[in-house]
Parts: sequence; C-alpha cells; structure tokens
Amino acid sequence: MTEPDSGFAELFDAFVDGALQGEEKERVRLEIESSDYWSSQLKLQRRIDDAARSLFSPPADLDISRSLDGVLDVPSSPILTPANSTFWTRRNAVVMLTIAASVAWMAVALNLFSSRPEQPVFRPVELTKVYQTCVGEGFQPYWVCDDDEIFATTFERRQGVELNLAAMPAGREMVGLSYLAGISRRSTSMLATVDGQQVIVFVAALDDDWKPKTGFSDESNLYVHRLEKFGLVFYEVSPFDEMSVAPYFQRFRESR
Amino acid sequence: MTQLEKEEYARLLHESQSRLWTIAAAIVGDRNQAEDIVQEAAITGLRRLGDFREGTNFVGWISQIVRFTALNHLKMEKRRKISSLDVHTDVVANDSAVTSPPANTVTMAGELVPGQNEFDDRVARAIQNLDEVRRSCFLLRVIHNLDYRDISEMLDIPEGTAMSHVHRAKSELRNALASASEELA
Repeated sequence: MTEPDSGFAELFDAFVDGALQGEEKERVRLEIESSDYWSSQLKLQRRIDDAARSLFSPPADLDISRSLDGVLDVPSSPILTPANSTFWTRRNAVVMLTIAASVAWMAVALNLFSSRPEQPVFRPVELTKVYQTCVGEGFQPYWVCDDDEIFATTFERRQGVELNLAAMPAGREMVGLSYLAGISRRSTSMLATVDGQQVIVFVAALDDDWKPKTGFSDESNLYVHRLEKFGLVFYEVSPFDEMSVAPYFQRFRESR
Repeated sequence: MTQLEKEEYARLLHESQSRLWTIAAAIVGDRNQAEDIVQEAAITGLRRLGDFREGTNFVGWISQIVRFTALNHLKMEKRRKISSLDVHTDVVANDSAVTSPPANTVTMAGELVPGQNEFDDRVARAIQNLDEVRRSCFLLRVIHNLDYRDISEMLDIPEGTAMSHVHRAKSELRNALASASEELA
C-alpha cells in the first residue's frame, strides 16, 4: 500500500490529534475513509494509542503523598490544639482527612472489587550468586543516599519500617542502596565495604523470607548470615565469618 | 515554612500525581521505578518549597523536579549498564550469565500487564526508542489528554514544540509498527 498524498500527512496528524473542528474535520474524515492507506494508518494509530494507554497508565492505587508522611511533621491532632485551632487550620485538616478517608476507601474498594496487576513470579536465587553478579558488575549502588531521613523513608516505603544505620566502626562504610531482589522483588539491598571487602545486606519483610541457605559456601567462599529484628529479616553476604553491617541497622525515630 | 503551606503542597501534589508519574515513567521507561522517582521528587520538592514562587505554576515547577530526578536515575541506571531487576531475572533464566532481556520481555515493566500481547510488547519497545522529550509529550497527550499549553509548562518547552513532538512521535510509531500490525492483526 503506497501513500497517496504525502501533503495530506499534516492534516492527518491534526485529525488524529483531535485538533480539527467543524467542516475541516468532516472533510478530512471523508478523505481518510476514501483512502485505504490513510484508513489503515488511522486504525494503526488507534491501536497504538490503546496499547500505550494500557502499558503506561498510572496505577489506580497511586498515592505519592504517602511518602511525605514522615517528612511533613504533621502534629497528631492539629485541630484539637488550641494554639493552632484557627478556621483555616480546621478547614485544611478536614479537607486532608476527607482526602485521606477517600483514598483509604478507594484502596479498600480496589482490593475488593478489582484485580491488581499480576505480580511477576519471583524465583529465588542463592544470595551468593546475586552477590557475585553485583560484584562482577562493579559493585555499583543504584542510589547513593546521604540523607538519613530519605534513607529511612525509603525503607519505610519498601519494608514498612523506617531504618537508618548507626555509626559504624572505622573501616566499615555504606556504599549505597540497590534493588537486587534476592529475598523478594520488594527487598532492598545495601552495599557496603568492610576493610575494603564488599558486603551486601538484603532487607525484607519476614513474610517474604524464603529462607535462603546460610553459613559458608565452598563454591563461592562467601558467608551468608541471617538476622531478624523489627519484624524484618536481614541477610548479610560477605567473605567474613560474622556479621559486620546488619547489626547496625536501627529504627530511625528511636535513634534520634 | 508554615503548616498550611505544607498541607497545600500535599494537596497540589495529590492533584498532579498521575501526570508526574507519567513523566517519570516516560523518562525512565519503567513502571516500577516511576512511583519511587515521584516520591523522591516529592520529598525534594518539599525541601525546596522555599524556591517555589507563589503565583507561578506549581505543576510546571514540580514537573521539573520529577524530570531531573528521573534523569538522574537514568544516568545511574546507564552506569550500571543493566538494571538490577533485569540482572536478577537473567540470573534466574541463565543461572549465571548476565545478558540482555529476552526480546519478548517488556523492559519498561518488570511487571507484566494482564492481557498484554505481542503487539503491546512491540509498542512498548517502539515507545522506548523515542527521544525522551518526545516520549513524554506523546504519553502526556495520549494518556492524560493534556492540551499543549499544559504539556509545554510541564516539560518547559514551547507549545508548538510540544505539538510537533506528539505528531512526530505518532508518525514514528506508525512507521515502526506498520509491519507488526499486519503480522499481529
């Protein structure tokens, strides 16, 4: 099929973009219908747009303001505090509570009445192999976070607990965070070095723990250590026969 | 900063979050990372709230923060050559070697959309091949049906440029997918 009139392309673009009105729109529509080429182009464009919508539509349960919860420092009951019980504070608190209630209701409704996108299958891989892949790739963190509050918020968002690192002895340094999976697709990994040796700590919810093999691996010459605290599980992989970094994770709020 | 300003910020953010998500997804081409990026940008925005001038366009301002946050993620991602999620998937598949994702894997997701078919996969790849700004314009227009003034404010480009990007994106996608459409009709 050949393009009959390349000069028509601009009008066609305007038509599919919804930019034409009235008589001009009708004239172009008729011209498209009378051409096999432009008809097929229109059909193709609609198919592409539909696919783009299904692939790139935002999740229905998107709630970005959740990430601000720990940062906003909102007093627990602002409208009950005489010092700030102005009309505007009350009004905004009511608006925010209404929004929060609506979002919560929608979240419940979505869980009850609609199917969430399928989660990809997670197939466990020995943590020593994940470690070796990461080291083989240059041991580069995905994200270097030097702000305690953002660091804590990241874990809160991913694992439900605000975590930060207590001061570690000399020679032990955090390199950054990564998303190496390991325990689940939701687990968060922290890369660190201890006396120049690479260490990875995988952090996940206890429910996600598939109990990877711990202890020494002859094959990799690496140790896998396991630690439970704060309702989370920590797996540390390193060449060391004892944990060097995982014990320094602490609850952020309690540490302040 | 007063409490009222913070609450107003949260409200404005809530109103624009789906468009911001689309910008992040368009830049990094990854649904999973988009939400994290917008959340990170939201925190950055909150910290820089003092830079926002009252009376100016909030969505335009926060969009730029999302855009730079996403570009920063992309830069780090490229440095890693291949995302850790893909590494994991490939380790599973090959049990050792790290390779490119299989041809029929939607790299933008890591999450398979129910009902997704092969044509959708090709569309995803063709969208990925668009220039970052063009991809953002196209998705903001198609997903959110935004007018060109809104798109131009969000991406800090002239309206005419935004329109041109959308038209060219559609044309490029049709050219890239014409044969796929016939094969997978």
